[in-house]
Amino acid sequence: MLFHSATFLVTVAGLIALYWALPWHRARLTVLFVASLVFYGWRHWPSVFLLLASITVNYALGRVLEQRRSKAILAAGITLNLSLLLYFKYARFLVDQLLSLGAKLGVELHVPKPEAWAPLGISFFTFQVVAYLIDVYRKELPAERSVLVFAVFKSFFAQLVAGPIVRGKEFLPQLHARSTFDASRLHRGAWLVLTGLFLKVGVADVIGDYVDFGWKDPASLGLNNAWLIVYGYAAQLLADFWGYSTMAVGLGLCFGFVLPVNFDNPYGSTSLREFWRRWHITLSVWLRDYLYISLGGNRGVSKGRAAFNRIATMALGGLWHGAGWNFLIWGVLHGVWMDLELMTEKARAKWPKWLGWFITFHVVVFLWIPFRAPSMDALGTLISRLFTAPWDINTPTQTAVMTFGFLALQKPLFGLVRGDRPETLRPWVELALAAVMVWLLLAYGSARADFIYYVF
Amino acid sequence: MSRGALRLLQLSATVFGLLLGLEVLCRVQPDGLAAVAHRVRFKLALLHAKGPVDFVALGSSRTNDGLNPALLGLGAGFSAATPSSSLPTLEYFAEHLGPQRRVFVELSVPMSSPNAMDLDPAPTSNNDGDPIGALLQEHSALIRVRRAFALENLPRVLGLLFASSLDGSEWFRSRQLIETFRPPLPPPGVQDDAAWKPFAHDLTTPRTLDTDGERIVAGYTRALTSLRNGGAKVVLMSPPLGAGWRVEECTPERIALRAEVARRTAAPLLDFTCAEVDERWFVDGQHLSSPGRAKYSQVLGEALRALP
Repeated sequence: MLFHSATFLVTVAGLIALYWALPWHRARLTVLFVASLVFYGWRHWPSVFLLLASITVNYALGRVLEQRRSKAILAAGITLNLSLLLYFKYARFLVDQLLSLGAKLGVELHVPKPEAWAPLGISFFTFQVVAYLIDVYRKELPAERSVLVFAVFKSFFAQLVAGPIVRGKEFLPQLHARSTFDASRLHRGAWLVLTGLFLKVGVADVIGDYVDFGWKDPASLGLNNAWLIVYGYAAQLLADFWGYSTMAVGLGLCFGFVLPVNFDNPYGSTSLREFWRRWHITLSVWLRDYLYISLGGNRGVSKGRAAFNRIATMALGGLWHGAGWNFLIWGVLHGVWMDLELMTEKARAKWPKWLGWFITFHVVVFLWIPFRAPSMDALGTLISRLFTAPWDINTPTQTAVMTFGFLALQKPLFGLVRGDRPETLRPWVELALAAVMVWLLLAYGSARADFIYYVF
Repeated sequence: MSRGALRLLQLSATVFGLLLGLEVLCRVQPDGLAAVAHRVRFKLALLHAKGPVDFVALGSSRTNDGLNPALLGLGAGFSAATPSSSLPTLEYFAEHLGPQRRVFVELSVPMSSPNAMDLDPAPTSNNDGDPIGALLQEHSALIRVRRAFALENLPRVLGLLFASSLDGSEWFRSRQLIETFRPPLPPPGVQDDAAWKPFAHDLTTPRTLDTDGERIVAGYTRALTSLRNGGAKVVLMSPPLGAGWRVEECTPERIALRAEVARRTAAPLLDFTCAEVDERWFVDGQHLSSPGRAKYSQVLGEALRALP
């Protein structure tokens, strides 16, 4: 079920009412669990069995790890979870590469291609549960004893398919606490759901219509429109994922939970390292804590090794988004640029702040090109159109205004899209903003099928 | 009631109140809002609000850009030409125009397109797996005409209020905004007066058409029959094109097709498509600039006045 579908919004309103009407904590958790299963299986019910199996196995693994702190059990648990991810997300790509290599070498290989079905959000809930197992192993978190609490932790619909990647340390204590109804918290949640919906349907999808159109046939784009889809995608991706994450945090608040914020004005960063502290924050923290540091990080290792660790972490972070060379290239380039930033740190410290921002913003925007490219051919075509195409007199004005308006207004928008914001606004300002958002959603909203990050 | 509860109530009331209010408005004023939401309906509503005129022009963006009713010298006119028009659009206009004295109909490649006219242009949502969304899509008047509330469509409300002083050509022109602030001058040194002549078609010899040609003739025949049933005298016309665009429209097949439409509908045809006019009259080879529009309107007016 999609966050921006009418069915979801109506159902979730009823669910919130039912949740707070129930006097028993366990009953509330049961309602959340059942609702999460319905949400997850809405479009593909067999996925529910995978989720249930994952809950059962990881619950047991957590308990065993707590009783017997064994690296082998941890390794087995991580391998099991990652192999599911590997199978569903990467096996098809790997087989394709193998067959293509065989064809180049003149060897006819007979390798069956795995089914194209990939469970929604498998990258997100795999990372969530791997973090849980490592935390239990490191004794940073006790293994969860209640199956119901663990099941809700693993399946809570607000963050199940596209994050934020919630850590056990943050979420499990909240699931144990019996919260009381708090109208202020619900008010904050409703504000975030509305603003998130506006970002997704009123901004991302409107810009996305032209970006998708342009990427279908980049060879037909004029110079101006090729640049427009480059900036347009940067705006679309942020609005889409930020909108989703904002709705997720808002939905969490509606049920009394505080989920971590995933975005903090990333396009306002003055370095790529800062960008990654502001973009998809829960993934960045995960990569830092469970991958980069495990590889050795940058303490007590040579500069070369630290540089390699950064590139390897970003390359794997790129591959986490999907099976494709474009994601790998995107990740590696991010790692390389971060290394370049560190090597030139002293010189960059003398630069004016705006220059650091300008360079970082454009590096991020240009690196989204391979990230978005549907194929390497399309990537090459678009890059050549950016510099050699003639000017096209027909520019989609609405997309251009929306794209550059959204990118220019990042700071005030991030000021508005905060849970505590409505309480600091005068009531009439809040209501006027809500009315404007509803109005723009109605007039311009272009509901597309999915959130971009659903496929990652 | 706590402050938080009050703010929550106010927010919910604003959102749902606004949605409900707009839904009621759309149910009370369905025609007016539908006219604001769609340019074809808008031009029709503008014409009806304006009242009786001496002639109406129908066509695509080529006529909308190229024809100034005031310069034809045929009395009070109205341009109902609309960008992205097609044969179904022409038929829709013909059915809904009402009684008219004279109607000038563009005969061109864009107007021959079979593209269905989408009168409810709000992007239809993908309601797969969203039964409540599908229900709303079907039953909500607001969802149907929600594009009426787009910022760029709001001036249409003013247009409908002041329809009597408008002639329809003020809307949807390609370079309207730029030309308002920077009117282009006539191209200097152009000596192409002799080229501004309609093509002399042979309207006596029947031609054999392919399936697509027959579709086009049938569509024009239906449209012209509707217009004539309303009492209108109909003239077919084709605005000029730049050299690049003439290649496609001036093939023997296309010329024969235009002649056959005119022959079978028994309507006079003023065909400037292949007139070898100067490229500088156009903004992009197919849409006339402001001076090109004045020139074409003057030449077309003379040709129309010369008709029996």
